[in-house]
Amino acid sequence: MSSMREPLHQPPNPDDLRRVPPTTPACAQVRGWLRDYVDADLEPAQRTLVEQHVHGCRTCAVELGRAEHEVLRLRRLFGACASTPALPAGFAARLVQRLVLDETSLVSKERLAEAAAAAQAKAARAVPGANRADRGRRVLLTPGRVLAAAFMLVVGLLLGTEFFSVVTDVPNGVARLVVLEAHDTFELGRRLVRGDGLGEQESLRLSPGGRARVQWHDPTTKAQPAATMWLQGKGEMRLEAGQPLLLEGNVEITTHREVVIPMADGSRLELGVGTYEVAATAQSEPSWSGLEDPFEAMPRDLHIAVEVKSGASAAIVRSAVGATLVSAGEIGVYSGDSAVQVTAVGGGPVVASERPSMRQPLPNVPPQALLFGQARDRSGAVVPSTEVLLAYASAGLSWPGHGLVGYDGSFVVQTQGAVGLPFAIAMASPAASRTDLGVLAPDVYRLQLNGLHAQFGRHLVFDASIPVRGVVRDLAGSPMAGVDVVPCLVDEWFGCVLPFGGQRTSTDGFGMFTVTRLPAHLPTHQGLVLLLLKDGSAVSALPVPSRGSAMAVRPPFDVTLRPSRQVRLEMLPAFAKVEVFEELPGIGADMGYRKQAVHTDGAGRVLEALVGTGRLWARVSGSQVVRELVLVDAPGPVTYRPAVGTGQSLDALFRDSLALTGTQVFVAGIWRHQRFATAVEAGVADLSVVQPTGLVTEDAQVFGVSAGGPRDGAIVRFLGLTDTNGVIALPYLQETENLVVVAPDGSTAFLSQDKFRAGITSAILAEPGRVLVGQSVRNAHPETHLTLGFVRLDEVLPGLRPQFVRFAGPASDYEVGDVPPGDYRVTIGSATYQVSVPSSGFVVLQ
Amino acid sequence: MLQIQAGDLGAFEQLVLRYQAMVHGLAMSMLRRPEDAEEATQDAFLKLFRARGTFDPSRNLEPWLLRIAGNACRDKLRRLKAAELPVVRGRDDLGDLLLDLPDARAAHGASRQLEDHSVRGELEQLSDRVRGPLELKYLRGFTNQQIAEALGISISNVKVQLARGKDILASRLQGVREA
Repeated sequence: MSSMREPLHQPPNPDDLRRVPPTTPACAQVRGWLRDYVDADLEPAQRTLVEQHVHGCRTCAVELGRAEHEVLRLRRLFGACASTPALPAGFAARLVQRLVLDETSLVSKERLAEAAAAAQAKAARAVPGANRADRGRRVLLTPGRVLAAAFMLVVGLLLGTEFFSVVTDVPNGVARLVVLEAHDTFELGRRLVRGDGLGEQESLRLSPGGRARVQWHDPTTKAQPAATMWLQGKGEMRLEAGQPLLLEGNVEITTHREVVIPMADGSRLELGVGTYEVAATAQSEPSWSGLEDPFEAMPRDLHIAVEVKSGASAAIVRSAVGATLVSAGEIGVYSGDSAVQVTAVGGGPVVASERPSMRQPLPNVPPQALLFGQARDRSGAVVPSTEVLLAYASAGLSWPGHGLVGYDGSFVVQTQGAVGLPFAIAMASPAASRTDLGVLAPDVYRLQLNGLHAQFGRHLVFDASIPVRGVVRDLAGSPMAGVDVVPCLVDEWFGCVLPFGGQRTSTDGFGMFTVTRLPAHLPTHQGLVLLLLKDGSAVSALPVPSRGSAMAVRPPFDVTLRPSRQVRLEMLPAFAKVEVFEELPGIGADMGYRKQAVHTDGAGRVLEALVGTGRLWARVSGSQVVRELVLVDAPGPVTYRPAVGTGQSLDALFRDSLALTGTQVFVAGIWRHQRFATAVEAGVADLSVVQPTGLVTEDAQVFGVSAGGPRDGAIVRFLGLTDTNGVIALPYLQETENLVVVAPDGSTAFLSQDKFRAGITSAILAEPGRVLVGQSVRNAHPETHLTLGFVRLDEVLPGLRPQFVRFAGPASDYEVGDVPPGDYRVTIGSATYQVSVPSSGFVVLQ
Repeated sequence: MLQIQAGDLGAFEQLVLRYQAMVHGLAMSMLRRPEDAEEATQDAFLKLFRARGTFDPSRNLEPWLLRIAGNACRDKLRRLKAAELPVVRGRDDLGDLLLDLPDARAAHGASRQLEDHSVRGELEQLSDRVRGPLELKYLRGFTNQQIAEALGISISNVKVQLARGKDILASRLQGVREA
C-alpha cells in the first residue's frame, strides 16, 4: 500500500464517471482535474488546458458545472449548519496571564503584584467589559488607567481575603495556594505573608507554633476556591499535581465542592462539601540527606485521623486496603495498612479509638485504576496466556505489575492509583504453547493516560524467533557435553546485562546446543551474547547477530572452549580459604564475575588454581577487602600475587549480582530501563531533541547517567520519552546526572548537565555511522565472517564507555552500521585497530 | 518570532491574536465541542510558547503552529476517546481506533437532527475523519497545504479525503432536496 503512488489530484466521483464516461483521453485527463480546478488548486498551465477543453467539449462543461455546484452546496451546507462560537473575549490576554503564572514562581508578593498587574493591564486592554463595546473600551484605555488597575491590585493584596481573590483575577485553570493569613510559615526558608501565592511543587512549612490560612484554587475553571484550609502547629503542605498534598500537620478544611486531598502516605481523602479536620503525624522522620532524590523517597509512614465536623461524608481511600466512609460526627483513624477505625466524636480531640470499625470497604470507591494493553504475534493473531511483566510510575513511586493476556488478546493490570508518567517498562513471555515466538526484551512503551486509567499506545508484538544452533568443542576438536549456554541481553551504551534464564540450555552428547525463544528484535543499541560456562573451562562469551541482519543467516556456531589456565597464586595468608573473583569476558566489566574458593598452603600459596583470561581479584574468607591479583613478571610458572595497596570492597568492583543457578557465575541482571524517573517537576527543565536538520524527534528515550557505579561506571536512570514536539519535561536531576538521548532510529546525543540553561535546552542528535572493513584488514583475517569488537576510546560522559560487537561478512559487503560517531578501538580476533567514525558517514577500517 | 523566543510575552500575545481564529477554527472542526476546542487552542499556544526554543526563526511559523495545533487537537481527541471507552477489547488496530472516531461522537449534537434525511443530518452523520478536511476547506477556508500540516497527512492524501467526503455526501444526498 505504501508503495502505491499517491494521486496528485482529487479523483472525480466514480458514480459520475460511470454515468458519463469520458470519451477521449483528453476528456479523461480534464475530468480528473475538475475538482481541483473549482478549488483553485491547479497549476496555471493545467487551468488553461481545462478552460480550453471545456470550451469545446459540452460533456466536460456540464461536469465542470456539476463540480462547481458540488462545492457551492458544500459551502452553503457548512455555512448553514456549522455553529462557530468565537473564542471568549480576552483569550490571548488570559493565555499570557497563565504563562506569567506558570513560568514564574509566585512566592514573592512583589513578583505576584508585578506579574498580575502586567497581566491585568493586558487583560484590561484586551477584554472588553461585559456590557461595553470593544471599541469604546479601547478608546478609554489610558496609561493612567493601567496604573490605577495596578494600584487597585496592590490595594487588593493588602486588603483582606474575599476581596483578594476577586481583585487578583488570576486566571482559572491554574492550581495554587493563596495565603490569607500566616504566622511562622515558610517556603524554602522565606517567611510567607498574606497575599503570597504558592504554585505547583511549592510547599508551605509551619514551625511548631505556626498557623496559616490558605485558599486552595484547584485546576478547574471554577472561580471559587476549592477549599479554605487552616493549618496549625508544625506541618507541611505541598501543591502537587494541582492538589494540596498533606505531608504532616493539623489542618481544618472547609470545602466548597467535592475535592480530593492526597496524603503523604499514599492514601487520599475524598471530601464532599463540609468542614473536616485532618491530623497527620509522621511515624518516623524522613531522611533528607543531600543525595536522596525526594521524588524517589518512599511514602511516609503517617498516623492519620480524619474528623468530619459537618457536611458530607469523607472517604478515606487507600490503594492496598480499599475505601472507608466517615460520616459527620465521626472520626476515622488509620496508619500503615491497618483498617480504618471509625468512632463517634464524643466532643473530645481527634484521637485513635480502640473500637474496631463495623464498616466494610465500599465496593465502588475507589474506582480501580487500570492499565490496558494488547499483545499479538506479527500476523495479528492473539497469543493467550502470554505473561506481561511491567513497571510504571504512580504517585511518585515505581510499581511492578503483572498481566496475563486473555483470549481477546488484551491484558489488564490493576495499578496502584493513576499512572503518573506516560510510559511503562514492559517485558513479555509468550504462552508456552507458542514455541515459535521469542520473548520480548524489556523496553519502554508509551502510555495514553486518561484520569485513573492508562492504555498502551501500541501492541506488544511477538515475532517468530529463529533458534540459534551451535556446537562446542575443546581445543582438540572433540565435542563438549554439558556446557551451560546462557543467553544474555547486553546494553551497548550502559553495559547492563540481563540473563534470559528461561532460554538457558546446555550442550548434548554431540556438543550441540539449540537456544530457542530468543527475542527476535532488540531495542536500539542492545545485543545478545551467549555465555558458555563449564567447570574447568574459561568462561566464553559468544555474540549473536540480531535477527533480520544479513549475518543472522550464518551457519551454526562452531565454538572452541578453551580450558582454564593453570596458574600459581602466592603471597596470600597461610592455610587460608581464599575466594578468587574472575572478570567475565564480553559483558560490562562490573556486570558479573566467576567466583571460586581455593585453599592456601603453609607458605600462603595455591600451586594449581584454574582461572580464565579475565582480571582476577582475591578475598580472604571472612574479610571485606578484595585485592587485585597481578601477574608476577618472572620466569617459571605463571604466578599471580595480590597488588600492593589498600584493596577495596566487592561492591566497588561489581554490581549486585545473582548466581546463575548451578554455577559459581554471578551476573548483575539489570537493564537500561530498570530504574526510571517516577515524577516530573513541571517546568523545571525541558529538553528538546532535534535532528541536525532541525526536525523534532518524537519518542526519543532520555536517560540520566551519573558516575558512581562500581569501577567508576555509570548509574543509569530512564527519564522518559519525548513528546510529539520532541520535548520532554525532565524530572528533578541529581547533581552528577548527565543526559544520554537515544532516538528510535539509533541516533544519539549526550549532554552534560552544565550545558543546561533555564527553560528549554536542545540536544542535537548525531546519526550513527558505518565502518567498511578495508581489503588489507580482510587479507589479515581470512575467515568469511568477522566479529568486530568496538570499545569507545574516550569517556563520553563520566562513567560512560560504550562497547559493542558488530558482524561483517560477504552478505553485508564487509560493512557494519549503526555505530555511534566517535573514536573506537576495534578488535578482530587478536588484532586491534583504531577508527574514527563520523556521523551519518562511513570510514574504512585499514 | 525572535522576540517570542527571547521570552517576550507581548509579542507572544500579538501572535496569539493573529492566529487564534485559525487555530480555534481547526480545533472546532476536529473537536466539535466549543469547550474542547477552547482548551485545545489554549494547549496549542502554550505548547508553542514552551517549544519556542526549538523553532528555526528563518522558517515559516504557520506550518509549525498548525502541526502543533493539530497535535494538540489529536491529543485532546485521544483523551476524550479514552474517557468514553476506557476498555478497548476485540479491536485489532488500536492506532486506527484512536484516529478514526465513530459516528457516535458526531451524533453528540443529536438535537440538530431534526429530520431523518435532512441535509444537515447527513452532514452531521459524516465521520469526523471525512468531515474534518471538508469543513476545514469549505468552511474555514484552509488551503490544502494547511490542512495537510494540521492533520499530519500529505497533500495528496488531503485531496483524496476531500474527494471521498464529497462522494459520500453526494451518495447520501441523492434524492434529498436541500433545506
